[in-house]
This record gives sequence, structure tokens and C-alpha cells, in this order.
Amino acid sequence: MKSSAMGKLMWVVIALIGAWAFGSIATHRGESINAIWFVMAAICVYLVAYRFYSAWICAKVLVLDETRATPAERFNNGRDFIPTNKWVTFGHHFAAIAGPGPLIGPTLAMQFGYLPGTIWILVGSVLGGCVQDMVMMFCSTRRNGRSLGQMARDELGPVGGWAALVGTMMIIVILIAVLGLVIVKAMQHDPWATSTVVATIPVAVLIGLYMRNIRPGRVLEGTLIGIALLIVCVVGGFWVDQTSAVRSWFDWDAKACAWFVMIYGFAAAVLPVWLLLAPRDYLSTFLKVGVVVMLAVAIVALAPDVKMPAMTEFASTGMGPIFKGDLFPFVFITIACGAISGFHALVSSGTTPKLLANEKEIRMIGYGSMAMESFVAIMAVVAATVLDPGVYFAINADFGKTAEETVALISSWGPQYQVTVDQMKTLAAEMGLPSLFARTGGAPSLAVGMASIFSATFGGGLMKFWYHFAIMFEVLFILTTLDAGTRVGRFMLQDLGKHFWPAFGNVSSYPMTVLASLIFVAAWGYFLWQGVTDPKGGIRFLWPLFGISNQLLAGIALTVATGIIIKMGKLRYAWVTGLPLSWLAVVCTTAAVTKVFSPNPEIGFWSGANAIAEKIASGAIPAEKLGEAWAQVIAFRIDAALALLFAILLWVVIADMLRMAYRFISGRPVLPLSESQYERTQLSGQKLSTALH
Amino acid sequence: MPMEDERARRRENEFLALLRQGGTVSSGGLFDSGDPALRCLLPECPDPMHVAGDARVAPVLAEPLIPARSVHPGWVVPNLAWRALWLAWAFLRQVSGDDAYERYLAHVARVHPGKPPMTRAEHFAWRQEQKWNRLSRCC
Repeated sequence: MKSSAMGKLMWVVIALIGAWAFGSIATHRGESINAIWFVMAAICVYLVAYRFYSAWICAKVLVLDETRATPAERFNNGRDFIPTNKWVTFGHHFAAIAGPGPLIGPTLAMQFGYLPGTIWILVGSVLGGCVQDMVMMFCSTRRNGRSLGQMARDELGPVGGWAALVGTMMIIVILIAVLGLVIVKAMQHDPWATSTVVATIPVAVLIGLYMRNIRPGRVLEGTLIGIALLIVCVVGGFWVDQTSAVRSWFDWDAKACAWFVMIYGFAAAVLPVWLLLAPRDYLSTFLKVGVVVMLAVAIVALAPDVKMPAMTEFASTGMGPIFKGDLFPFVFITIACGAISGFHALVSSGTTPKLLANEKEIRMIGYGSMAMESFVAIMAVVAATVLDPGVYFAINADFGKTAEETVALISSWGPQYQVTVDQMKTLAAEMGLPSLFARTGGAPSLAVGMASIFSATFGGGLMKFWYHFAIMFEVLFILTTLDAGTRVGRFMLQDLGKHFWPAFGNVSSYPMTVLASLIFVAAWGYFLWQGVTDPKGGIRFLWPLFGISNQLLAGIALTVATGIIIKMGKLRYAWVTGLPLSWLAVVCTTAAVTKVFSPNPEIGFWSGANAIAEKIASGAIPAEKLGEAWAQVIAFRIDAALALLFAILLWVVIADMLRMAYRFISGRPVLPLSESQYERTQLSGQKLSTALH
Repeated sequence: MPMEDERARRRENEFLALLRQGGTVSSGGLFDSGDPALRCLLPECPDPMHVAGDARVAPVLAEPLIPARSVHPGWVVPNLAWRALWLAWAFLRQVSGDDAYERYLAHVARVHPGKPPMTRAEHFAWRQEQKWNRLSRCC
């Protein structure tokens, strides 16, 4: 196909189809638009970007060298450095980067209408996220598989290294807190979901014992049994929901759910990994990939209509009911994973490069798997927008009002937003829930969307089972991120703490493990609690904070990458990472400054804290609520400090890189490029297109 | 030959530097590729479970030659379809880690003919421990 006329023609056709589909989405202003357009536009954009842009970067900027031995080949120790088949590496990498982020973020961002989010997911991924993942993977592969933090220290200096370390730790804390809140919101006062989730814990332990003791190492066998048991759990949850004696045991409020999540996170961090963490990961990874594939098949087969308008008025008024703030910068903060996610830089450096058998695979694994993740975000867009807009807002927004008042308010926005109490009641009954109002967090509305797509495609009448299956699936892999994150956070905390107290850094000491885990769980538990006690649902300020921290980490990764590209003597190509970096710097700074200093108490942390403090001073808050109100004042001030810290950290790293770049360009000495020396590959059986030297 | 020595020495230095840095690099071996029976170049390997590196062969998903099979009298699955199925199965086993122990045994047999391998249970525990001591899941 290479450069033949047919090949060229094929790419022209793909580009035209993509442009046509994209144009249809962008210019459509009618009642509804078919979801197939989204799928077509996305696939064509990814194909064209992969074929041309990623190839150009690999050839001109990175100059991938297939004759160069990778760290996996040179240090092969049968343990973490193992040359692995590229499809298997792709599978590992995709499983590692694909989490709940690309499902939740787009769901929340649909309050602006489908268009802004969709454009950002497509453009942001092919120009930003995929590039970041691929370039980080390249940099790490050329540096013996070093991690982002180590590379920042080697290439920029200690300032960059510390910023990356602190940034990484903060993002894990905020990420776990906000994901914990998503679970809490999905489980509260839903005994079916709660009992199902609780039952997955003994299932995971059972599978852990099975794989370790009963049939050691039989991973597929154990996982299949586990998946079957999980489905039994969903059905069992239905029985719990129907049996009034048992039902009340699992009818938890938000605070009880939050305690459950914290205790679970602590237990998973201090118990041996084989008992809870690892078996849960097998189950959730299989479920995740399975559900994503099912969703893709169902969307193509069903071709549902997207009912959300292209743009809602909240894009310009900034008074969106799910979270406040204008389209710019908040749509770019809300959708982090799916467009560009700094967290990926941590897996792309340090983990996956130790598996690569050949450098040329970086393109497919780095760029390709992020494009696939972005496609998952597009499917989340479809699942969120197939709901009636009025229903979407009634589920996702917490107005603190009664059902009648809520539907009256939403319906008053215009003819497209009509919703009635009866409609919501019927829907809730179909889903097997007491009520669907104000189930914030994104997970429930995504589950409603998925349930309606699945039950229409694979079997009607089982709506409530599909809904709780979807909830179980979301909670399961959020818990996986949560316990893996707590564990890694604990290691990082011990690594950091050993500079002040050497004994604390001993990872094999059990008391220290418990202590460090306790501190780390308390850190994210604080933010989770803050979200749970917030009268308006918490997501409205925790998710933007998470988005800022994730984009901050992406900014640090892109800064390191830009610095390396400049030091490689490729200043004229520095825009490849410099462009997404500049965009993120603008977005991140604007968002952080807005969140801190906005005079609107609904948006700004500082004015929000002051507004509550004034209420307390004027005596408008009853005495028994006084403690909670003060806690909220303090929480908002901490959030303000944190958002400001994120923005400052990013600029410190950027300034450090610019200083280094200036010195390099003007011929002054800089830290040398820490690339390892060239060594020719000796792997036999490789198909190399160029002759070996 | 001096070229090979210089390379091996450089690789050893780099690897020792990695080990000193700590971080996510677990202790492991360093291997000379010239000799078919590879030896660990690390003077005193600190890892009790230490296994030396593999011979340098590019990783393949599955053995390429699978003959056409007759799964039922009169019904022969075409080679291509059979191979696709075989590859899918090999992929599933490898990506999930289901065949990790078989790979490990083959590796020990090839690289350390005399060394007693770990049992399946030991090997599974070892692999799991090392997987979760680093960042392996994102948001």
C-alpha cells in the first residue's frame, strides 16, 4: 500500500469522511443527531493523525532507531526488564492508562453541550495527549526506563525533580478523593449497588486465594470464575433490595459510604497484594475491556440519537448547574483524561519502556493506546448525551430543592429541557432505584445511559440489572485505581519522609507501612469528607481541582519533553510539545486563578470561604451547624492554597526549562543529555527494514 | 572481542547506577550476550530469587507454524482462521499472565540448565509482588 496510488486515494477518502462527519457534528442545529457521526469523526481523526502526524514526529523529531537496543533487551532480568511482544505490551499499557477518568470527565462536561467536549477530546488527544504519552515513552526508553521524576531531575535540575515529585503526590491524593466521592454518590441510598459492591470484596479475596493456593498462577481460570461470581453479586443485590429485613443494612448515607471507602483503601494498602488488590485488578481489567468493547458494539449496532444540544447557554453564562465557570477554561479542565492526562506520563515513563523490544514500537504503543483511550471518552460522550437533556441535568445537578421545584427549574430553561417528576419516577423505577434526583458524580447518569443502550441492544426489560451492572463495573475499577494509588502514594510518602526520619523510609517494616498508609488515607480522606459534607454534592469543586492537578502533571511532563527536544538540538521542532504545553499553561493558570480569586462565591474558593464566614458572623447559621460551616471555611481556604500551589509549581518548572533552553541556545553549559549510549540490537528474529551497521 | 568487553562493562556500570538510584528499579541481573549459557555480571547479586537474563531472541506472540486442523471429521478449519484463533488465545494468555510460568520455565531451561526453578506458586507470588510495587494503574 505504501505510497501507491491506491493508498493515497484511501487516505484522501478517510480524511474526507472524517471532515464530513466532523462538519456534520459541528454545524448540526436540530432536534437530535445520530451517534454514528461521533464514532465516524473520531475514528477518521485518529487514523489520519496516527498515519501522518505520529509518523512525522517519529521520523523527524524523535528519530526512532530500530537498530538501537532497548533497555528491555540490554538489562533483561526476567523481572521488570523483559522484551515483550508489541501487542502484549500494547495490552498492558492500555490496561494501565485506561481508568475511570475518560468516562466521568466527559459526562460532567456535557453541561456545556456536546460540541465543546467532543472537539477538545479529539483535538486535545491527537495534538496533546497522544504526543505526550509517545514522547515521554521515547525519552524514558532512551534513558534506561527512568521515571518522569528522575528525568526531570536529570535534565532540568533539582527544582524540576522536586516539582514533579510533589505534583505527582498531590495529584494522587486529589484523584483518589474525587474518585472516592464518585463511588459514594453512586452507592448512597442504593442498597442494591452497595450490597453488590460489598460482596465484590469477598469475591476478590476468594479469587486471590484461588490463584495463589488452590490453582496457583491459573489467572484466566480464576478471572472467569470471578466474573461469574460478580454477576451473581449483581443478581444477589436485587434480592437484597427486595428483602426488607436485609435492605436496611445496606441503605447507607453518604458519610457511611465515605467511611467504607476509606476503610477499604486502608485495608487494601496494608494487606498483602495477592489477597485483595491483585485479584480485584484482574477482575476489573477484564470487566473494563469487556464493557468498553460491548459499548462500542452497542453504539454502532443501535446508532442512538444524541439529544443534548450542541451548545447550552451555560457555555457562555458560566452558571452551569453541575459545576460553575465558563467554557474556557473549565471544559479543558473537566475533560483531562481522554484528551490529555498527566498521569499517563507516569506509566509511559518508568513502566512500559522496560517492556519494549524495539524502539519503533513506541509509535503504536504510545500514540495508539492514547488514541484508543480517547475513543473511550467519545463513547462516554455518547452515553451521557443519549439521555434527554432535562433528565441528564436532574440526575447530575444538586440544587438542594424538592423534586417538583427541580423539574420546574430545569424545564424553565427552554423547550429542549422538558422533564417531569413522573418521567423521573418511571426512570428511577426502571433502574430499580428509589430516586434519581441529584445523583451527582457522573457515574449514575453514565450508568443510566449505558443501561438504556445495553438493554436496547442486548435485551430489553432487564434495565435495572444493566444499570447495576454498570454501577458495579464503574465502582470496581475506581476501587482499583483507589487501592493501587494508595499503595503507590504510601511508597512515595515513605520515600519522601526518609529524608526527615530515616526509619520511616523502611518499606519492609510493618509498623511503618501501617503508619504511612494511615497518613496517606487521611490525606485523601480529608478531601473526600469535604466533598461528602458539601451541601451541593462536592463534585462541583473537587473535580476541577483534580483536573487542574492532572493538567499540571501533563504540563510538567511536556516541559521535560520540550527541554529534551531542545537539548537534542531540535529547537525548530520544539513546538511539537511546546504547543500543547503553552495551551495547558494558559488553561491551568486561568483555571487556578479563577478558582482562587473569582469574586463569585460559587466559583472562587476564597470568596466562597468568605461568604460562609460572613454568614457565620451574621448568625444566619444555626448553632448545631456551626462546626460544619467552619470546617467548610477552612476546607475552601486549603483548596485555594492548593490550586495556587499547582499553578506556581507549573510555572517554576517552565521557568526552569526556559532558563536551561536559554543557556543551551546561547552556548552556555547545561546538564548533559542523560541519554544512554547507542548499542546495536542483537535480538535475532527481528524484521529490521534498514541494514544493521 | 574487546568491543564486547567494553559494552558489557558499560552496561554493568549503567545498571549498577540504576540500582544505586533505587526508585522503581528492582534488583536484578546483568547479562553478557556472547555466551549461550548466560551468566549474571553483577558481582554479588542481592536478589535471592535472581534469574539471569534471556538469550537475545525477539519476542513472538506464538509459534508461527500451526498446521490446519480437522476439528471434526469432514470439517477442516482453514489454516488462516485457525492461526487467527491461536494468536488470539496466545495473546489472551500472555497479556493476562496466564502463561507466565511456562515462559519462565522455558527461560530457565534455556539460560540456566542446572538451576532448580521456582515452583508455580512461588513464581506467581514473586511476579505479583513486583507488579504492585510500582505505579501500574492510572486515572
